[in-house]
Amino acid sequence: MGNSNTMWNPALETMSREYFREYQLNRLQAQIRHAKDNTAFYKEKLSDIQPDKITTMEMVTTIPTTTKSELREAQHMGDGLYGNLLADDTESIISYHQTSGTTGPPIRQSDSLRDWEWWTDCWATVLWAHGVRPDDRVFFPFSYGVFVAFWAAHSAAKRIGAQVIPGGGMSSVQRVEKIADLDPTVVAMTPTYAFRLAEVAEQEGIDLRGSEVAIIICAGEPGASVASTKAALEDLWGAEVYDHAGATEAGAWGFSCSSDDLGLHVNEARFLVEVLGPDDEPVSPGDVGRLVVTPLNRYAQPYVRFELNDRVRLSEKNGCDCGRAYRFVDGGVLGRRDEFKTVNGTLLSPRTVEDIVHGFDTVLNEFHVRIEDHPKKDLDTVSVDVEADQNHDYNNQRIRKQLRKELRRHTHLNFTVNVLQSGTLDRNTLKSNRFSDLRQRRAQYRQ
Amino acid sequence: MIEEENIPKIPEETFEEVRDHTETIREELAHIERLSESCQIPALERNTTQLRSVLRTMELHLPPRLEDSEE
Repeated sequence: MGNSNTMWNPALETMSREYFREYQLNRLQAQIRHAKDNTAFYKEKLSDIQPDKITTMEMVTTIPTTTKSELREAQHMGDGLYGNLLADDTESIISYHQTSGTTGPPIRQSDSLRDWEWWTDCWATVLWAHGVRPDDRVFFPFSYGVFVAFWAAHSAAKRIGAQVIPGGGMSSVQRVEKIADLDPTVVAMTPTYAFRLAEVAEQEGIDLRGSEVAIIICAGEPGASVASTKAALEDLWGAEVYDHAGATEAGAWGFSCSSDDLGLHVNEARFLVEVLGPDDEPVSPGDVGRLVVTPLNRYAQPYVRFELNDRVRLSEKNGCDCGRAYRFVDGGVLGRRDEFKTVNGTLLSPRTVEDIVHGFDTVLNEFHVRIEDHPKKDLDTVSVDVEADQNHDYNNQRIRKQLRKELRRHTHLNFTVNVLQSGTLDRNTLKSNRFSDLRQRRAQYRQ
Repeated sequence: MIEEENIPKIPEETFEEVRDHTETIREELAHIERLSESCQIPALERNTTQLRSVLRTMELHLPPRLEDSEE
């Protein structure tokens, strides 16, 4: 069972459900009040909402949710960089970040000093749960650009008292050389980049398994909660792999723990997290729904019931082996709502394909799925490109046959499997885009 | 060059008052440090360390006491 040494704040992380509800409702009321009083956007949007009257969790669903497209529009109304979203004077803003813009123009994110304290604290909760301690040396191999990425994790590692090695402005080769040279004990990156660095290390003759790295913290993609991906990364690095989920607007809301169950705890001291069904009502534990998040301590640019579009499944289990009372989402983020594709009437999730491909040790970890119109029939075709692992005694025909069989068993779809030479597919340094939906005829089924 | 008349004239009593309050915070911090150590809550311990560090920086911005500079 958990004890004080495994939690950043055991007093909060083991709080009773009843206390959480009261605490969250109080914070939610305060956030609504703050957002309404200080932003033009929420003043109008929540004009009918009286925060003092939201006295039960059931009443939370009467508050309208906030979408990304509303934020895009609001930031271009009013004055300044942040338009109608800003709740503070510009002098109090200490940092600028923006979303990656994968689904449209980026959203600008302002943070004041106290917001940055909140970011730091949320990430410290994550890092501490993953075993980062003051005697660790933490390497962050990312670009240190406008995306929030691991900026707050960097601050949090310092807050914990660990030694931080910034890995910006380096090539992948230089980064693996730094790992060999400086002996970090923790590395934080996306799962895609963890695979990439492992590949580069092998090319450079650097033995990651023999390095001091004991902890890999993954974020930005759900891979570390995918069983086969996690196992493959742990094997390549010889380290424990942990998962974290967050977003620029929502903050660092989820983290895996030391229990054997794959998935994420929700940091309920800092976030009100709802999992909603198509009717906008909370789904029962065990059912998949979409994530709606309210950061409970965000000030310069507050959000109320932000539609994150991630799909998750709240666990049915009561309590966790790690001792935390925070609720758990089984398997972490199951995918973005817009990543799920309907192919010939069957729902296909990128994650299912990832789980299968990463479970095959005769192929490398990069892959790419294409969904296209059938050239003659009113049907879709789906194919996957994989790369053969030349370290194995392989046979392309056998890989093709076995992979096709596994994919059909799990997805009920007939894939065309193309086995390519290693190094053929593009490598990414942040997140992977492994799905291309090229259909023209059946565009209505894309989502 | 900054004109001498543009340099703010801060009475020594004001600095002395800030020093007194800073000393109070330092004493309070020592209490918090002892308490948070007994609570074994890493978040409290590490943030207390952060507070102490900020306090040290603040102290660096206070001019030395007149009697100190005379010594």
